[in-house]
Formats: sequence, C-alpha cells, structure tokens
Amino acid sequence: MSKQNSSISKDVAFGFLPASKNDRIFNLRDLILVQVVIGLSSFGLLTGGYTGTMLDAKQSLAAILFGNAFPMLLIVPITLYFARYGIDTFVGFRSSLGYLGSNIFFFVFLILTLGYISIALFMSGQALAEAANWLGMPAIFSSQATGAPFFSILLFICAFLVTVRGPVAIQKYTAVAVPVFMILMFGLLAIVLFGQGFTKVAHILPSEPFETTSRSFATALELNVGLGFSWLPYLGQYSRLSKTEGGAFKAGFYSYGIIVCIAALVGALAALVAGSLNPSDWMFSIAGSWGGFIGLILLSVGNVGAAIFLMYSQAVSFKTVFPKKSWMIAMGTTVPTIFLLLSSTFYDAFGSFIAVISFIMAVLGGIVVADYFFVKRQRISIRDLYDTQGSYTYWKGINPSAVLTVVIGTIVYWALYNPLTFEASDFFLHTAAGIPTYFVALVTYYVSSKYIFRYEVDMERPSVELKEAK
Amino acid sequence: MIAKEGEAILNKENQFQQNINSEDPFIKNLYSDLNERINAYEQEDAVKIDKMKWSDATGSIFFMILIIAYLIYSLV
Repeated sequence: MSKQNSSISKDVAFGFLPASKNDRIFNLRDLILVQVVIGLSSFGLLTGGYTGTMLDAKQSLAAILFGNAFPMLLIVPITLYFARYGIDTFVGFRSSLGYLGSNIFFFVFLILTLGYISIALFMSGQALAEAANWLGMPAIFSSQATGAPFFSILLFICAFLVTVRGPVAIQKYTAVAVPVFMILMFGLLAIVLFGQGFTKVAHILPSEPFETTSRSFATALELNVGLGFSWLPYLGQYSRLSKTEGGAFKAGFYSYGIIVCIAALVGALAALVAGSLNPSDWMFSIAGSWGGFIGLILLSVGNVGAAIFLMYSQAVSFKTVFPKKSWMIAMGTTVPTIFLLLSSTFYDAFGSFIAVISFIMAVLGGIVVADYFFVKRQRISIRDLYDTQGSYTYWKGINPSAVLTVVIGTIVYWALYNPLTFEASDFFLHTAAGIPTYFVALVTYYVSSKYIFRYEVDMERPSVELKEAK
Repeated sequence: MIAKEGEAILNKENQFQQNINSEDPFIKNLYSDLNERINAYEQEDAVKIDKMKWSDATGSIFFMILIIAYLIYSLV
C-alpha cells in the first residue's frame, strides 16, 4: 500500500470507528481553534455581504450575531451525542433517520459541500479575473463572464490534484491558506474601521434594501440563520474527539455561533463601504490599487484552501459511509462542482441556496435533537449504529417519523418564506422562517415517534439491549 | 414492526462476522477494530468521558442573552 493510500485509509478508519480514549485529544481551546479555522470562510464573507447590502451597520451586527448564535444554540446540544459515543455525524444520525435515511442525508451533505466548494472557487475566479483586468490581460481572462469561470475551473483542477494526494499535501497547503485568510479578514476589518472611521461606517445606508426595514431585516436574518444551521453536518467531525461533553458543547457554540460572525461582520461592513456584496469588488474600492491587488490574491489563496479542506472532508466522509468504495470514486463525488462553475448563475443565487439549506438543516436539527434527548432519552446502542441490519432499520432503513417531519417542516417553511421567489408571509417579518421551522420539526418528530409510528427502539424500556453511558 | 426488529437482531452477528472475514484487508481490519471498540464502549468505563453539566451552558446562555438585548436595542 502506498504512503498516500495508507494515510487516506488511516483517515477513513479514524472517521469510521468510535473514538478511542487516545483519540480524544481536543480540550476546549483546541476544539474552538480547529472549528474556527473551518468556520471563518468565504461563505461567511458572502452572507455578511448580502446582509450589508440590506441593512445598516447596527442592524447588520444584530442580524449576524442573532442569526448565527441562536440556531447554533438550538442544535449544539447534539454534540453531546457525538462526544459521548465518539461517533461521526453520519453514523450518529442513523439512530434518528434510519440507516438508509442517514445515507440520504449524506447526499444532502454532498450537495451542501458541492455548493460551498463552488462558492469558494467562483469567488476566487472572480478575484483572479479582477486581478487580470488590473494587470491589463486579454478580455478572455479579465472579463467576469469568461475569466471568472476559466480561473475557477482551473483552481478546481489544482485543488483536486492537491486533495487527491491525501492529507500530507493538504496540510502543507492549508498551513499557508488559513493564515492568509485570517490576514485578509483582519486586514479588511482594520482598513474599513480605521480607514473610514467607525462613525462614518455606522451612518452608511445599505445599497439594496427591501421596501421596508422589517422586510430587509427578516431576509438578512434568514440568510444568517441558514449559515448558523448549515454547520449541523459538520458538528460531529471534531466534537467526537472532545475530552469532555461540556467542552464539545461550549466549543460548538463559541466557534460556529460566535467567532465565525467575524467573517460575516467583515463582509457586511465591506459591502456597506463598497456598495457591493461581491468580495472581488471590495478590494480596490477599500484598499486602493496595490492593496486591492494583494487582497484579491489573498482572497484566492484563502478560498482555494477552503475548497481543498471541503473536498477532502467530502471524500473522507464518503469513504466513512461507504468504506468499500475506492478513493478515486470518493474524490469523483467532487467533480460535479465544475457544472456550478461554468457561469455565475449558482454563485449569484447564493441567497436562495443558503435559504434552502436553512430549511433542510432546521428540519433535520429538530429531528436529531428531539430523537436523542426526548424520544430515546440518550439511550443508544452503539453496536446497532454500525450494524446496518440492526435496531435502527425502522421501515426499510428509513424512519417514517423523520419523513413525516420533513414533509411538515417543508410545508411550514415554504408557507412562511419562498427562498426561490423571496415571497414572504406576514409572520416571516416577525420570526423569519428557519427558527420556527426548527421548533415545528422538533414537536412533530416527538409526537410522531411517540404516538404515530411507534417502534420498540423508541419506547421507554426497549427489549433490545441498549447501553446507556453513565 | 417489532417482529421485523427481532429478525434484524438475529442477523446482527452475521453481518459483523462477514465483514471481519472479508478478503479485503482494509475491511477486515476496519471491522475487527470496530468490534474491539464497540466492546470497549459496552464496558463503558474504558471510554467514559465527563458528562455535560448545566454549569457548562451558563456562558453560552449569558452570551445569548446579551445578543438578544442588543437585537432588541437595534430594532427599537
């Protein structure tokens, strides 16, 4: 077995197996740091960018903080499950969704990750096209219509070639990309706050608000709620390695709920100053000529680092769920990203994408929290989680209560807010849509599991042997 | 539903054993390790970690209250 395959096999086994005592290496500080590195990202910048085009600085800060922290507070208790049993997200969700249901959820995760990879790469492509324009290169490279897809697909190929070589190559790249992204973010924040002055920034009006402030606020809040809930499938990755349950809970909330808000805040302030939600437009108007050029390069390098991390995460997760499939097939699941990079259509629809993610993850968050804490009351059989013919088979591998909850959650969300046409009900203006959908899902799943689709594994004293961690 | 669950439990050992006896060395090692780890978890003490206490949530709740207060201030 080559060194590369051996490293990948080690990662797959590491993700697949329940964490041993020696695997639990993360204290609270370590866990916050590793999750912040993932969380401070281009999608945070872009969500902030959208927020800053709809709201002023004071309201942007409120929408960003509440929109990210509150959904995280609602779903972060599930980290106790991952920490207690040392299991990854897709193994853990088998107890609530069923074996096949968890695999279906994995494909939702694939779509989410493909979307995130394409957002990061297309943003890089736009930045490089902007840089090419500054350098006076031919129109095919410097125009956004052709240059951005060209550079983003080129960067996808580079990221793929790094990722396919396994964790050693990735570590070398991310060791550069992560600090680069940090420098870019804090540099932008410093230039906006100290260059423009806090008072001036506080009084800038948003460039593209809705007809009323309440509509603008609810829409911006919903985007941030979507970002907050979107961390659900990533929560298991590292909290399973926590030394304590409390550490997993606190690290999840502080990193994904609070600290990642910095990226969104930078995005919102930059969008207010530059009058555009697009990070590649911010650089020259905020940082000047040479500063803008350097900013564009830093943005590209940082985003390619994020894309590499996401690609590897997706491929390893695929191998964890389907350990018998080859590494090349696992890497092949990232290839559809190219279709999303052919034009700016998907990138421009980021607002709809994150709203759709909001409703899917809000519903699933309600299901998994209700299942672990209220239906199964923290009684899980770890052997049955791994035995795909075990107690969590439900109906042909799918939990009917989860299906019913998804249907009702979908109806509720779309009645409140249509993320494709942006039509909103009056209720949406007061509550947004993702948060009420979470609570509807939580209650629906509980009622369904207890009174409609009753399985022995969900009863108070199941006859199957369930081990309760003390 | 309950009868099917019972049938599933009977097949349990077969599926694990099949994978442990797999000719693919990666699958064989993976499931052998898995069996050992699950046994360790079922003995509980081998992998027990400190459970969550309410006091662990106080900081998060405090931050959330501050954020809600700021939200109200920004909207009034």
